[in-house]
Parts: sequence; structure tokens; C-alpha cells
Amino acid sequence: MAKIKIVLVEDDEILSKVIYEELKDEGFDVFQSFDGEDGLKLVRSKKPDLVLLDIILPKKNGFEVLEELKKSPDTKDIPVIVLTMIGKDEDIKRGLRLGANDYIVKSQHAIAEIIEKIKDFFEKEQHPEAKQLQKKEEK
Amino acid sequence: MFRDLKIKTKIFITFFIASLILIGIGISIFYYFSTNFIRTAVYNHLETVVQSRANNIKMLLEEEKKLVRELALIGKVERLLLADEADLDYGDNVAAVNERLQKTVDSIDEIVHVSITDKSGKIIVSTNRAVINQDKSNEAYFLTAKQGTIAIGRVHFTPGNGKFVFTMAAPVINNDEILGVVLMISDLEKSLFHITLDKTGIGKTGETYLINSESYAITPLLFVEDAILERKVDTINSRNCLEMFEVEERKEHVGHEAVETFLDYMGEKVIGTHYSIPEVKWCLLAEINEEEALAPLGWIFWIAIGIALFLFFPVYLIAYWVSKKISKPITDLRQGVEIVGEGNLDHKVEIKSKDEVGLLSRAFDKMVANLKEAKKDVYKKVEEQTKLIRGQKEKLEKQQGTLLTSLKDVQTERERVARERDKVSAILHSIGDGVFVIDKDFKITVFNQAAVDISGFSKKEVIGKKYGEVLKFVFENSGKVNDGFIKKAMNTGEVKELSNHAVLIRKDGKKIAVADSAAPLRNENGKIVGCVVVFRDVSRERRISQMESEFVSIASHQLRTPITAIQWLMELILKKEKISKKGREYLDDVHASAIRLNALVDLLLNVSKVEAGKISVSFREIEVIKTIERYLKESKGLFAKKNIILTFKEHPKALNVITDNNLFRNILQSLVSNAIDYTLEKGKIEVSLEKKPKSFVLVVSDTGIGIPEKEQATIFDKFTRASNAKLVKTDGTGLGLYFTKQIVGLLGGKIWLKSAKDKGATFYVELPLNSKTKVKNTNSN
Repeated sequence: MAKIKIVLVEDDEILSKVIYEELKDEGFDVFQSFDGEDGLKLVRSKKPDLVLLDIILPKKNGFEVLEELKKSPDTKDIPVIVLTMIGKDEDIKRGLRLGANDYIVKSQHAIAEIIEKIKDFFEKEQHPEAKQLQKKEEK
Repeated sequence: MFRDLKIKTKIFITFFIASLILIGIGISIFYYFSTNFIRTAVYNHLETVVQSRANNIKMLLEEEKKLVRELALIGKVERLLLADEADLDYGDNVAAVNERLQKTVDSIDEIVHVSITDKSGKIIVSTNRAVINQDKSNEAYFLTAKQGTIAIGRVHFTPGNGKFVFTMAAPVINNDEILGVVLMISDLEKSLFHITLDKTGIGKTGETYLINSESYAITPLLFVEDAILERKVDTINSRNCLEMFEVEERKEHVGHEAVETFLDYMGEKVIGTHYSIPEVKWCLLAEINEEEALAPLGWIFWIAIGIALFLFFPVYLIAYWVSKKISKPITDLRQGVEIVGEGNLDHKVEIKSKDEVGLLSRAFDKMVANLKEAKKDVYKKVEEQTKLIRGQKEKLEKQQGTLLTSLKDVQTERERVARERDKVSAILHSIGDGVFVIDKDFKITVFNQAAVDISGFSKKEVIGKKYGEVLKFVFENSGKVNDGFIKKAMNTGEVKELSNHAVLIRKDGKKIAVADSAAPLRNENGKIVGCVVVFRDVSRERRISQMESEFVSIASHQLRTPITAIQWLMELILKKEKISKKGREYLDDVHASAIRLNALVDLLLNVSKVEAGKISVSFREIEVIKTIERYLKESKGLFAKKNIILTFKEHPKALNVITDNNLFRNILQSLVSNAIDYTLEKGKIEVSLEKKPKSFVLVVSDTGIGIPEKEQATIFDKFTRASNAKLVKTDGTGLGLYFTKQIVGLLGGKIWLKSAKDKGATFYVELPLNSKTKVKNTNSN
């Protein structure tokens, strides 16, 4: 089975490292990016199965990246989970509106929780009914 | 003016003047009749006179005639006439006759001469030698005498002796044969004058005179000298007389025309009459000057005047007496009226007479009596009324006094109010915030300087206008009108504030961010009569606020990143690495600290957010049980360390609610971490959840130090920590429960506690199953 590809766009090195390590432990293929522009490029080139997208990013912020990903036909179908530090509702709403599938508030979850969530995501992915459920959850 | 005289005077004057007038009329009539009477009397008198005189003249003429006849009968004369001239004694006869004739002439004064003519008319004998042999045959008298009657010749003047004479001729008849004529020349003067010139009974200016058939005077005229046969008298009187000779020759005529005045030969007014002597065709005229004739009238006039004057006094007295008599009762009545008029209603006039005045006086007395009665009544009533009025007057005076005092007070008050108003005006003017006041019609009545500056409108442009026409408060986002707060304030009577994203459109179209509030204005009855709206340019504040938000945002983000990193790394280390027991202990502590730090940062940021009103709530459906379980799992490290047993047993299997996930987590976190912090080693914490019809209750109970009763009320206040809390945890902020309460409120829920010192604490949080609807319903915006 091909490893699931995840692009992680997160500007904080330590946080990125932790997430990266843990995801890797879980068997995902993870590609890191530390700014918006680079992230965009990375997604375009790697065409991952999931994008973990931070909001506050240098060069291009998460929303802009998201927008462009969703605009572009070759990337619009790639699911995106927005990572926010504060969990501001406007950000969450905006992200979801722009096409993100889900969101995670980093500061509110243990790393293990976050990894769980991502794992869950793919499980749902594999079951179409679960996708519908997922869609419901997103709303 | 006559009208205004007293009655007495009126009567007097009327009577008097009437009397005088009557007297005057009387006198006039009397006078008139007197005149006529006198005139007639005079006339009659003249008639008598003229008649008698005429008779005298006639008698005289008769006498003359007699004389002449006698002469004609003298024998000698006869014989002479029979004798022949040739006779011898003719001459003697003549002388004898002459002598005889002379005797007659001498004896009778008035005979001047006597002559005898023969039958041919030749004078054969005459006492006047001058005329002897004169032929008188043509003379009228001769011819008449020849007929056989005595004739009277005309009056004529004989220059020889300067006399006026007239001839009488008598025929000498013998055996029916006329032998000759005797001519007797009579002196007019001597025969007639004395008759006509007799002044008896004809007054001074009266005269009688004879005129012949030619109108010549033949006796002297009174007013004209030498008038005889010189002066013609051609007057009405003379004409009337002479005319009669033509009409009735022989008839004697007395002038009996109307007794009128005519003009005499002198042109004077006279009364006169005449008597005709047809025999000789003479007219005897009698005339008297009217003046003289009516002279008595003068007398009469003065007598009349005298009588009048004489009567004057008695008339005066009578008039006076009559007027007084008549007017006295009237005066009495008048006086009576006056007395009564002055107020003496007891006075009675009492005029006894039965005439109108008497009737009037009795009627008056009656009226007065009635008036007296009525007056008594009126007085009584007036007294009563006066008492009433006095009472009222006193009342009024009291009121007036009060009013005056009130007025003074009002005045003072007014002044004070004016001063206050000036103060307020000044204050308003200097207030930095815009202030405007609207009346119940939403029209602007006050608009201060700051309002002018902020809005860009001048006072003139807004005063009196409805505020909506000039001041446009809109929502920042939609641009829709946002002045509901003003209307609400007026309707509900509560102070209302404008929502946060409010903007005022200035006169020039620019938008200014404002914060404002509206407070209703009430009158003394509590009725809302207007609204005071205060608004502030908060652009700067907004900017600052925005900056704050940004700062908070950035700060929280920046703080959270390393904290999250620490947490995660701790997590990983503890999970994955082999660590010594002690090491694990330390790392547990670090992990716990990190978590706590995270919580603290959250708390701080949340508090600052909630203070700024920046907590945004987003409602979502979450499964509460799971959320709680997840959290508890996460915070295991915290309570495990203290050997506290935390259980979550009592709860429904699953519970979906609509709430804000983050805020719920916060509440949970706050309560649980408090429970952990304030429970001693080996304590117990029990978390439970109860579902209710419309809400659910989260209960966190511990066996910790509890909260003293006195401090339970204030435990939710900012910076408030229970006194015993410090003993257990030195670094508490006193913010946790404050913030928790705020966000419970935001979710439309309730929080309360049960506790006793050292006996643990139980916190209850009740949240609506559907926070969204609950919150929506309670919000005023």
C-alpha cells in the first residue's frame, strides 16, 4: 500500500518537528514546508492526500494558500485540515468556507489527540458513508 | 334752551308773554277800530258841518233872493220901468229909485250895489254909477230873469272895489209882463265868508270852502292866499261833487262815499266831504287833515300803552302767582325726588291735588315705599353676599400671599434654573462627546459643539429637524440605518447603547466610527418627552481596539506556540522515552506546569477578550460527553500527580448540544483545574452531567478546602480569591471563576456553587441544550 502523503505547512520549527515525527511514526509520508509560498509549491508538486495548513505563515498566509489550492483544478480536490493556534471562530469559519475539510486547534489538544484526528480522517475517507458524516460534521 | 328753564319760569314767561301778546293784539285791534271809529266820527261830523253850513248858505241865498225880490216889488221901481224916459218926472223917479236902492245898499252890508235893467237889459238905475247904461242882456242871469225866475249870477271879481261878488237878478213883473230886472250885487265875503270860514267844529286844519262849477274856489282857502277865482280845486272830493251836477242837476248831494282819506288841493291827506248847492252849482267842501282828525288816536295810543303798562304789573303778578301755584307741587315733587334720590326713602311727597302732579306724587310715593322695601331686601342680600365675599377675599388674599411667595420662589427658581441652564449649556458646549437632545417628535432641540464638530452639521442645520434627516447612524457592514437604540430608549424608557460596529455619516459623506447611547428624557410626571443621545468619535478608540485585538491575537498566538510545543514535547517524552522514576516525576511536573501555563495564557487572553467584549461565540453541535472525556484524559497528568481520583461516572451516554465548543472546554477546564488545585493529596473529584428538559448541568465536585460561606458571593468577582485559597495555591490570579462566569453568561447559562470551609466545593454549571436560540432570544441586538 502506498504511503499516505501529507504535506505539513507549519512555520514553527519545533511544532512542525513534533507533528512530523509523530505522523511519520504512524506511517504517513510527511513533507514539511515552513512558509505559504513554499507550501503551495510543495502541494502542487507532491499532490498529497492531505494538507495540514497553518494559518499564520510567512510570505503567504494559510487562507491565501487555501484559496489558491481550491482554485486550481489540480489541487482543489486535495483535502485540507486547517491548523489554528487560537481557534478563533472567524478563522475557523473562514477556513471551512474556503474549502477546508476540518480544523484543529493546536493549543487545545495533546499531540496524541491530533494524530488521532488525522488517522480518523483517513479512516473516514475510506468509507464513503463516513465521508457524508464527515461533511455533516464540517458544517 | 327754553326747554331748560324751570317750569315756574316757563309758565311765568309763557303766561306773561302770552298776556303781553294778547294785550298787544287787543291794543292793535282797539287801535284799528278806534281809527276807523274816529275817522267815521270825523267824517260824520264833517257831514253834519257841511250840511249845516250848506243850509246856511242856502238860507242866505234865499234871503238874498228874498231881498232882490223885494226890490223887484218896489212900486217905485215898477213905476219907473213903466214910465217913459220922456216923462218929466222920469228923472225924479230915477233919483227916487236910486235913493231907495241906496238905502237898501246902505242898510244891508253885504249888498254892494243894486241895479235895475229895463227889459232890454240896459241898466237904467244903479247905485253904482259906473254901470249905468251897461247892457246886461247877454248875461245868463238876465236871460234867466227874463224868463221870470230869480237868477244867481256867477261869482266874479270887481276890480273897481276889489271885491268878489255875485249877482242876483230878479225880474220885475207887471201883469205877467217882465218890465225889467233888478240886479243885486252881493259881496261874497260879507255874505258867505263867515259861513265857510267858521272854524267851529272843524279843528285847526279843518276848513269848509265853496267852489264854483269850474272848480275855482270862491271862498278863501285855508292854505292858499288869494285863492278865490285863482285856485282850482281838483280833488276827488271836488270832482265827486261837481260830477253830480251833471248827473242829477237839481239834486243835492252829500258826499257819502266811503270814509276814506284823500289828497286835498295841497296834496295833504285829508278826510273830507262835500255838499252840493245845485242852484248856483256851487260845492261846499269840508276837509280836515287826517292827521288832525286822527289826532285823538295819538291819545288813544298812549292811553293804550298806559293801560298796558298799568296792566303790566298785575299781569306780572298774576303770571307769577299762577306759575308759582302750578309749579309748587312740581317743585315739591322734584324736591321730594331729590331727597329720596339722596337716600331718604322715608320721605313722602304727598301732593294732595287731584291733577296729574298729584297723581304722579302719589305714584312716586308708592314707588318709593316699594323701593324702600326692596332696598331692605337688597341690603340683606348684599350683607350676606358681602360676608361671603369678605370671606372669599380673605381666602384670595391668603392665596395671593401664597402666590406672591410662590412667585418669588418661582422667580428665584427661574433664576436658578436659568443659571443651571447656562451651566448646562456651558457644560454641554465643553463636553468632548457629541450631545443632542430630541423631543417626542424626534426633532433635535439641543445640539452641542462637539456634535457639530463630529457630524459636520451646524446647529442651524439640525435644530428643529428630525434627527433621522441629518444624523445617519448606520451599521458599519451593511450600511443600513442603525438608530434602533434611540427609538428603543424612547419606547422602553431604558438607556440603550448602540451596537459596536456603528458608524455616523458626516455631512461631507465621510464615515466616522461612533459609540453612543440614548437615554430617555422624562418630565416631572415620568412621561417620556424626549431623548438625550451622546455619541463619541471612537475612530481612534476603534483603531486602538483593533490594535489591541491584533496585539492580543498576535500575543496569544506567539505565546501559545512555544507553550504548545512544550506541552507536546513533554507528552512525547513522557510517552516514548525511557526515563527514570525521578526523571518522570520532574517531567510530569514540567508537563503539568506547561499545561498550567497554557491554561493561564488562555485565561489571561480570554479575560482581556471578554473585557473588550471580543469573545465571539460560534455555536456548533458537539457531543458533550466525548468532549469531557477527552479533556479529562488530557489533564490526567495534573490530577494523577496529586493522587487525586477523578471520576466521570454520572452522565448520559451521549449528549448532543448546540454550544460553543471552545467556551465549553474553557468552563470545563476552569472548574476541573480549580478542583485539582484546591483539593489536597489523595482527594477525590467527581465530574457528572445531568440532562434536563431544556438544559444540562455540569457538576464538578471536590473534597478540597472549600470556600468559606461569607466569601461565596464574591468568589466570581475579578481578582477575588478565597482567603484559604492562598494557603494551598500561592499564585492564583483570581480571574478563573470571573472568566468562567462571563462565558457561562455568553452561552446563556448559569453557574453556582455549594461549599463549606474544609468540606469541599461543588460547582454547578447549567447550560441550555441549544445555546444559540437561548442567546438569540435574550440578546437585544
